[in-house]
Amino acid sequence: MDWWLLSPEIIVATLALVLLILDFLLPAGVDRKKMGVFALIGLLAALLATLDIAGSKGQLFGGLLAVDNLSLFFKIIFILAAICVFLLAHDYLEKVPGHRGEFYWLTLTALLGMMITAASSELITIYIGIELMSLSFYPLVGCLKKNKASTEAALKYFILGSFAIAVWLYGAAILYGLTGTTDLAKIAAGLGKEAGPLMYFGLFLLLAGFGFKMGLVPFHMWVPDTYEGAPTPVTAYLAVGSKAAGFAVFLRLMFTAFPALYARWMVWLGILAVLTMTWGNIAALRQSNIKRLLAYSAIAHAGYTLIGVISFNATGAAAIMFYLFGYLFANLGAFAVVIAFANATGSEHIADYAGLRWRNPFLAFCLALCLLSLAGIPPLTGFFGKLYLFLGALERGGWLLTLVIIAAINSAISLFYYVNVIRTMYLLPPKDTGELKSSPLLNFTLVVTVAGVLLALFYFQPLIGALQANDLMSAAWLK
Amino acid sequence: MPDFFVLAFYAVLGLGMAAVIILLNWFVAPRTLATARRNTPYECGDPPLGSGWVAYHIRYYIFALLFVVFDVEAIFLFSWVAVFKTLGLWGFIEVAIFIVILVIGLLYAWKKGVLRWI
Amino acid sequence: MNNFLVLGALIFAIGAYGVLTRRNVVFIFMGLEIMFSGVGITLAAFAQHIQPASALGQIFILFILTVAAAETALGLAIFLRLAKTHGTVQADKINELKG
Repeated sequence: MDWWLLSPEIIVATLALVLLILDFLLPAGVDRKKMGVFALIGLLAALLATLDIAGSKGQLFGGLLAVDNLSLFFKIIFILAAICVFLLAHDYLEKVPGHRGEFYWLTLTALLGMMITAASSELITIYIGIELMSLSFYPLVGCLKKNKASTEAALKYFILGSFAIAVWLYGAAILYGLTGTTDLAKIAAGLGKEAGPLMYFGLFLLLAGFGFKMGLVPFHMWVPDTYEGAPTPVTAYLAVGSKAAGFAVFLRLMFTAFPALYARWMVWLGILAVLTMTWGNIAALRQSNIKRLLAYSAIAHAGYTLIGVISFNATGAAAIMFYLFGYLFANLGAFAVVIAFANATGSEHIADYAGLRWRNPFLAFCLALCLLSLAGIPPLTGFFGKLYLFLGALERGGWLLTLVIIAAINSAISLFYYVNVIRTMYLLPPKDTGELKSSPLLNFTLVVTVAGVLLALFYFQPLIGALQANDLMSAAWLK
Repeated sequence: MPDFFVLAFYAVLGLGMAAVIILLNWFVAPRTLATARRNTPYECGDPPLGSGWVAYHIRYYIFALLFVVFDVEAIFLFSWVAVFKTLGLWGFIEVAIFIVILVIGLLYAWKKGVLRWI
Repeated sequence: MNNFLVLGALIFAIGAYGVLTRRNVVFIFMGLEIMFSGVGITLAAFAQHIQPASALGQIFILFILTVAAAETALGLAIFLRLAKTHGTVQADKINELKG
């Protein structure tokens, strides 16, 4: 076993433990922000380690964890998200009363959970990864101790999350009972060509569990409430990290374990995708709170991303990765502006964004750019991601054409509420004309994310080329 | 099968013991009239304060919470002990890492003042 | 083994019913625990029936047990926080956020 392949996880785990020890060893008076700086340096090391092993392949612990392009790519996404979250949280944590040391290491354990989830190729490991991620997220969501909404969000997330994981586990138990293994590749081998109703039932339960993590529509109830109540940096982390982890493991599960049942699950997922994007977009239309708006937009985006899984080909898988990469930057950028605005005014209402153009042109421009990327306007990353998702679906053909048309109509609907925010910022007169300050650190984060949104324009081809080399795609059952 | 007889023997013995003690108590105890004072719950001779149906102090939950986690993690130690010889030194190192992480958790709780009874 | 599977399914269903219908948060947590137990019984039955020689199913159960314990502890912590901020543990009275 090549330990070097595990180095990103080892770095993150050690970092989390060191921060935990530091948190209780440092006297109460010491500013915990220094821990954030320390964590950032550690995360950069983890990022470098991940980039160093990029392109390598291997298996760890006798096949429990897979190191391949899929997992490495998602690990880079997660580490980038965590770095951005630390940058965003730096000023935000001023408002959190009491100890804030927990925030740093809980973010890191959540990161570790995501990394394990994305890499695991076996049911028990998937379970451990998802639970490590979720158990870190519950207290993160509720970390505003005195805040009623935050506690309530944590409670709802906890109850629904545990319920989903219990349902998932029952599905996993059935799967184990029918195939006698928990290894994804061996499940595919043990499955054969046809499956009985019990197997479909198990698969359905697994889908429900993952659907919860990804925020697909019948299982989305927690998303708006949790996103609204959670501290905004945590919301950004949830929207990007937790969802990407869900998609990473879902992609691996569906592509590796269930190719034989494709004809059946593609229909289920198709229905879920249509429900998810339509409901997400329609509900987003009537939101007045920007965090809730972004929550429903996150639901709609989960619907689009699902198309990549349904297309079940190399283009689809590459498209999901590219799409989530663009989504990471656009979403974090949008949340950065929300945090900057809330830090200055304490408001999260869209109506209060009126005239932001005059009060702080930089913030308004960044938010507009990120929202347009989310909506999928041509020169931005979001557009290419969507394009690639649609191309994958068209490659598969059949009724997926209908799916693409529905998704395109949905994109048009989504334009309404994104443009509405931009109109509020640029055309409506401000109620309060004073200049709105944002901290240099937030501005720096914004520059990074906006650069991410724009740069894909130039790195589009090489990135897709690298994604095409993914080993998921070289599998024999993909044509 | 004999194992089960042993089990059954002890089960009957245990139940019988409890029954005998209760019956003995019933025979030996002096009989007095049921007065209001007699029916009050016994609290070391003092008149009882408040109802017996009080919510437990929140601190019990915190102890319970810590106890449950550390208690259950011991499962992994049992399964490790069962295959101690086959795993050898490497297994020992892994379990040591596991325990160190648990101890860090305990230290954390300690430092945060959870174990102090105020 | 069928009996054990039915038992597991029943216990899982009872837990799920409890989670969905109970209003007191502590009872909801209990329902969740019961669901995990149902999964455990199902796994044990399968493990015993399809591969008695392998420890795979039992390992799965061990992990479920321990993680569920950690989850319960976390649930209780959130419950304590809830009792402090809201002054109630009835799920239907907690409605700051409207979904």
